[in-house]
Amino acid sequence: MTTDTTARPALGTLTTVGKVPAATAGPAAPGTGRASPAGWRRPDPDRDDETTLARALATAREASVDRLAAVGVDPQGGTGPALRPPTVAVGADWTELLDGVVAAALADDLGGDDGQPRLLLSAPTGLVRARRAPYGPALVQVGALAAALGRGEGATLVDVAPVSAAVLGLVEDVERVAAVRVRSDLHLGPPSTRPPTDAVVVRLTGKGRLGPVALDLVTDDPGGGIHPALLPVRGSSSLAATAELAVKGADPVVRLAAPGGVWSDVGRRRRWAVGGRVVDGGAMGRLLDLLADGRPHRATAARAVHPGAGQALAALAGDGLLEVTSPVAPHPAAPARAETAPAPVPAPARTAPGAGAEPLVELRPTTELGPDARMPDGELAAVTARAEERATAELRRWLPGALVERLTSADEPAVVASRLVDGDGWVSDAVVDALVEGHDLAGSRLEVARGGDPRHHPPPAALVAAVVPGGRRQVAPGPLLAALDHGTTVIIGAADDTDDRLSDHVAAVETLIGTRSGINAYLSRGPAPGFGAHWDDHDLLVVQVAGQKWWEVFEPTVEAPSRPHTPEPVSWRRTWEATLGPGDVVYLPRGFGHRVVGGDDLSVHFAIPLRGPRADLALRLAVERAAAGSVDWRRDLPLEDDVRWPGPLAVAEAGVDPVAHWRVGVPTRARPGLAPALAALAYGYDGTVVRLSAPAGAVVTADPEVLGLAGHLVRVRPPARDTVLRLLVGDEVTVADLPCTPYGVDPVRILTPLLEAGVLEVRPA
Amino acid sequence: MTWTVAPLPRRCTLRRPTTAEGGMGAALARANQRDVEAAHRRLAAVLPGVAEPGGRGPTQPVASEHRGPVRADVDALVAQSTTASGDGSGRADGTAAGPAPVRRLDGEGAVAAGVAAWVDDLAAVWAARVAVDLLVGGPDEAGCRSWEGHDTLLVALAAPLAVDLTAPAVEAAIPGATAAPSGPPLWEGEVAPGHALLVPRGWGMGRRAPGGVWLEVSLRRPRGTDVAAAVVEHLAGQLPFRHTLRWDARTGRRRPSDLFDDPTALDRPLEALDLDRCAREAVAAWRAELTPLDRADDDDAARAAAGDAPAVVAGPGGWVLVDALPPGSTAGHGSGVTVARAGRLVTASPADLERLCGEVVPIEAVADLHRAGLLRRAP
Repeated sequence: MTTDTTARPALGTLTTVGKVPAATAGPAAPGTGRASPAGWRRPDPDRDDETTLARALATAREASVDRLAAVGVDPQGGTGPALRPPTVAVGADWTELLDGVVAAALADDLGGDDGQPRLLLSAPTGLVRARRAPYGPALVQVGALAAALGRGEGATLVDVAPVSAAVLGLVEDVERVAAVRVRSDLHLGPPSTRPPTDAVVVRLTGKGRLGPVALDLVTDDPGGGIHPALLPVRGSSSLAATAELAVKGADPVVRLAAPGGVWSDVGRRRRWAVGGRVVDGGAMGRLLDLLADGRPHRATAARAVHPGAGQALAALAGDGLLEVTSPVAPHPAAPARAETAPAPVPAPARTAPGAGAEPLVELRPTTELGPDARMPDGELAAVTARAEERATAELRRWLPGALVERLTSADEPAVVASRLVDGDGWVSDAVVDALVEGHDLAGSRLEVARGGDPRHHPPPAALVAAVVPGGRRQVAPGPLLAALDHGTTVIIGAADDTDDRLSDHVAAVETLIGTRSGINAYLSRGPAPGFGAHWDDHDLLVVQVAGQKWWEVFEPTVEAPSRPHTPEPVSWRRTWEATLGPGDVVYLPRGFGHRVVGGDDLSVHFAIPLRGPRADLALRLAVERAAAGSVDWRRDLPLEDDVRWPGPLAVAEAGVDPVAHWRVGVPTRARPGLAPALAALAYGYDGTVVRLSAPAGAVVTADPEVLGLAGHLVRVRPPARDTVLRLLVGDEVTVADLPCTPYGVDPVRILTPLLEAGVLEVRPA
Repeated sequence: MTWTVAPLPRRCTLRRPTTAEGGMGAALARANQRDVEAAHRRLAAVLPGVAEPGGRGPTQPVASEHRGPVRADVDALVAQSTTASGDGSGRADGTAAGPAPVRRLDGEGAVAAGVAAWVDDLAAVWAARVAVDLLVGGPDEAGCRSWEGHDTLLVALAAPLAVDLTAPAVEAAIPGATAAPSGPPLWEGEVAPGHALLVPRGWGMGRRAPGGVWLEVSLRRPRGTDVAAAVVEHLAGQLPFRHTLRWDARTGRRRPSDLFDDPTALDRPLEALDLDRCAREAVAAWRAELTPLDRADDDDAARAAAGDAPAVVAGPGGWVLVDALPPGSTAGHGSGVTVARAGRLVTASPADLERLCGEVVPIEAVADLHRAGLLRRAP
């Protein structure tokens, strides 16, 4: 991608003039749901300067009505307050579509850091829960969900439209016709477990491969209390395509993604409200005339309507009002793209093979871990060594040998720079796009830095679009690029969740160093200082993914610095500098200060933090154990002013293994598929491939039958030991090849507890 | 009067003032002593026999009478909890959905002013971190059962609270480090509305009050393990403890080798410390971080500023002297004496500080202390 920087307009600054004040928009008028009592009116087809705009809006609405009619939704003739609750029943069988939506939704992040969990349960089993790794996504724990569905319980995934182009198009059509905000909820399980239908506008049902399934389009605004001009923007943009709006010769596809349409200012000509924003200007008017039909248009055609239309287009994109996609990509309102449906499996049986027999593996929380956890020796150490050898071999496919060795080296800390052996899975526009598309920004996963401030900050509200209350939050590509153009560095966490290959790459790193990690993506554009000079409290593996960045690295101020004990400033004693391009990779030890400046193009690098246990953990654990073992130390202290040291503290005798205690808490990276999990639970594991994910391996405890792994204490009864040891190597293994099979031990009794705990992945062979 | 207020940074070197040292330290110590004695007098009127200053905390349950305005407490707490928790559902205790046996409403956000005042007095007398939960019994007979790592004061409000107590497995039990209580209940009975029961840490507690309402005040006092944790925090900044630990699966080798191979490696740094001084500093830091539940609101501050109602400095841990700030800290810089209280650093001239130590807050200091969260209505 080549950017002509001289031709690039400043995004988002020219013709949009602010948000629509809610007070002036007011509620929609009763009865019609469309007229505005204050400030804004529908464009009038009888006014010469509004005829085109009014026709375009009518075209958009008619197209939505036609599409809804085609799927069996009657919008009551296209006039009046159509599609209000109660339910518009849709009788057709939507199994095929819904199975695809289920597959996409279950691979999606549940969010929940903002107190709005997107997985709701119909039964208080406590078994269906999200897995949350450090900084990572919260995913449905599929093994437990499968078990719950097998018991006849239900679950609801809230706001699934962003993961399904088909649902997104349907939602947008309903919002355009009904002028209400709509949320799309997916229900799994028997109909009796679904919530009441009071607020349901449209319900699609099917009896899918995972059992009964329903998609409800619900509104929290049944009376049309939100003015259509404030309806949130829909659509899913490509970051790369949005960036191309500013590239000479590039011609992405643009679409006005505001289902509430365009509204004219009552008191002022050439001023409109759309998608919660107020826009004005002659060029903007001509552009809206073209785009108000809701259809996709080539950017070239849009720019041609007026000499200032290019800047107006950039401004709309900068405010997130446009959906921008590449010319080859379908847009959501077009026929639905094929969702990846799960493999066909029959409905699960209530009683799985092997059920009723005593499980050979039992898992408990690590809160019950005693002080006697130890790193393994003998057979289990050999298993861990095999797992590390496997990870090393995988790493060497993409990471140069010198860097692989550096990951576990205890040599003098040093910066090591090289190039990826193979950039596959790392360096592509698709990887960058995936950061934005379909990536939920729950909690702290989106942050910004600017002005050389060496700290991360919460993102400005404009950067994050929460389309519906309680729903997923996404980056809006237009505002993102506008922020980058203003010198902001944007940091997106858990980027390894966007791509299975990236996840596998990071998993190999984790196995080698025995800890959990992830990828933080740093996006910048232009040389303005975003993220300032700083040092990190952990080693860092950096991969340049797109564009260029100039790196300047400084010596640490002290040996093995750590926060909060080492002062913050960098030493400014430069030890290395280079301009990194796509495919360059650098290992940066803890404490080395660094300053990074982007090139003119969009620049993206991935940072993989490598944080292991520190020696102070040994002291903490030993002191804790020694103190907890003595009543003198457990007692409340006397409150007189002459407090004294409570007594001897036999730290050396405490003998705690800090590495083992660290490793036992390292969580899994497993992401099991629901359909294979359901099939396995219902019919056993014949014909499946399984993989255990315990990134830090297993540790031993005082009880020879109990291992600690992936945040669990696992009791492994003797008949299951060989199987569990085989699984701990961490590669994919066909169940028929597991050591239990030749001896007649039912794998269900070993694998199901691991599956339900979320540490086992099951895939069709 | 002029002074600066800043958040209290971690790793300050702190010291409890004593009357023996004279000067400013003695003035602060006298103020602390006066405040604790006043809190004790008030507490004796509300919860007789529960809290005695000093000592090492109870080892046996203590029954008392709650002489506060019980009915007013219930009404205020329930109303305030409903407001504070938004939908009134509060935090579920037990299962995540369906009729919970007990609803646990918000913590300190739910505390009505009258309750917050005597709970702060408890905190001052015992130098305890406190939290208050309001519990509402479900309609069925199910209750809740637990054992805690802190002392718990149960105060029955709207209905009798059935309680059974099981003896602790060890003295001064700590969850996660010592065994859970087991065996038959040693005591079963009812706590009548308007009465209280102080349960020491480690005791198993069954609580049941269908349709009833009761308070649970947790009281966490400083203990030896807190001193140990503070010392470890201090040592963690030394170079030997900053290195990354590694383990080689193929050879079984551990690094840094001296840490793993030398059994005295962890004892030596402790031996180099003045441990009694470390203990005193740890307890002083504990006190300095105690924050009050009972703070003045805007109306209280306005009345105090107008001279209509006196106010006092909030902070149940009292005044603590700051001997040194952590390296690189910019807080507390300026001329004068720097002291700590309620999670804040206060720097002022000795004369101004002495005025702040008076029985009531000077009118000209009211607005600044209110902004800093350090103002409380005079009890």
